[in-house]
Amino acid sequence: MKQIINPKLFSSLIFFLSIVLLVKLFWITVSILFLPQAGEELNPKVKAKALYYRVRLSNNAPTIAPVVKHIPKKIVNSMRGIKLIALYNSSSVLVVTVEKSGKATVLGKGDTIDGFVLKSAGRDYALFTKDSKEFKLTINETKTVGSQITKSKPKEVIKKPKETEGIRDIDGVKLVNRNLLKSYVSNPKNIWKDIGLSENKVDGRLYGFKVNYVKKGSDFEKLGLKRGDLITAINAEKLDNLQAVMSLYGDINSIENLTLTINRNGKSEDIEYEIK
Amino acid sequence: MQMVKRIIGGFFLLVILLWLLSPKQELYYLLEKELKKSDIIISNETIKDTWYGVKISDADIYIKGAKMAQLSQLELNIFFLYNRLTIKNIITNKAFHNDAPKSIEEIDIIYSILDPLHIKLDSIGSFGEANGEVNIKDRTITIGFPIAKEIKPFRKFLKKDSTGEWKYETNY
Repeated sequence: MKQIINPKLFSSLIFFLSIVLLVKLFWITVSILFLPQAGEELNPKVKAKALYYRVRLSNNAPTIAPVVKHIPKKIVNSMRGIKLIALYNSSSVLVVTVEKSGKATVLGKGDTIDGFVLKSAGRDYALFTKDSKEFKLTINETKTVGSQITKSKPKEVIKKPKETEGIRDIDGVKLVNRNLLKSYVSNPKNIWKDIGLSENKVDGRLYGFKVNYVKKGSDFEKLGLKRGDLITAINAEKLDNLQAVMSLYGDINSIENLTLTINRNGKSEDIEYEIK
Repeated sequence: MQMVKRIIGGFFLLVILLWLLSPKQELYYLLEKELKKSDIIISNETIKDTWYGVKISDADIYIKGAKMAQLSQLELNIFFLYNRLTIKNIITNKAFHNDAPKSIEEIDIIYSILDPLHIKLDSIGSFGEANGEVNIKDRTITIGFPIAKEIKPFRKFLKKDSTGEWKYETNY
């Protein structure tokens, strides 16, 4: 009978296939037992988003943004005899202390004194209304204790911030000029002239950045950073890797709010920034 | 004699099959796992298995969680006795332009069994040309810049040797 397959070739083929099978089985075993089945991917990119945005429903904190206020023309009146000696104005609380005939009175928003209703306030003045007219009382004013705002001459009640002003502190929020930020982004070397930062590691893992020095009078000092501060988070994103810093760097041109969490003298505190 | 021929033939066949049938993708994952220990992560890449290795395209390189660079192609050729990693078109993150080269055209990393204690590397980029080696025994990295162009951003990390060539030396 004629053989279809050469037995020698057949045995070689079987030998070859056996080795292939053995090798494949070997690698499958190694792969399952010792090799990782998935690659290392970075967790979804965490954007250093602002924790919150300041929403101004009223004009009780008008100094945050430059606002030009046009007041209707009213009959001239005065608040003579009343002095504004102190005020506290934040987005949610407005308290002023006025003095009349040597007697100090504390007023909240909506409170009245001699028919003048406390309406709102700025950084160093309070606005009262009486008979649909507005009155501005400025702090530290000794000679002219009361003044009225009229429409006939549209008046800029609040000064427009100078473009050159880099950082201003308003109601505990630091207003940062975007141009200043951009200048640091385009010249990062300038950062290290004004501030020294180093990685803070705990058990070999990154845990924030330590402020080693802050140049006196520098923008970083104005930002409220001090030597010894430990910056632990940006917008609540823990600084346990550089991702939060880098995503902030990438979004620096569009970011509007920023909160730095710092550990100062063992206490954790937040510094808020608004970028305009 | 026939038996000896068969054993030798079988051995070579085994080696070739071991190489061809090796799970390259999983071996690449192992490399990624090892790199992660040094806070280096290759992410968002497309992996393609080849007969002799893996081809990675459009990957992002993260160091300590920060995007350090983007590369268009990474080729890992595993021949066991001779392994080669080629990375092409690396563009470093703008944030690192003050401390690192802006772009690297190609990096060639070679590990050969003929020189088991050293890993050789060659590179071309905006900095000119660089070549160096990793000494596995001494745990040192030495990179020389025989043709130095734009090295100003990272010159602070370099030293000039007796021949006037810029060198980078570090331990790991």
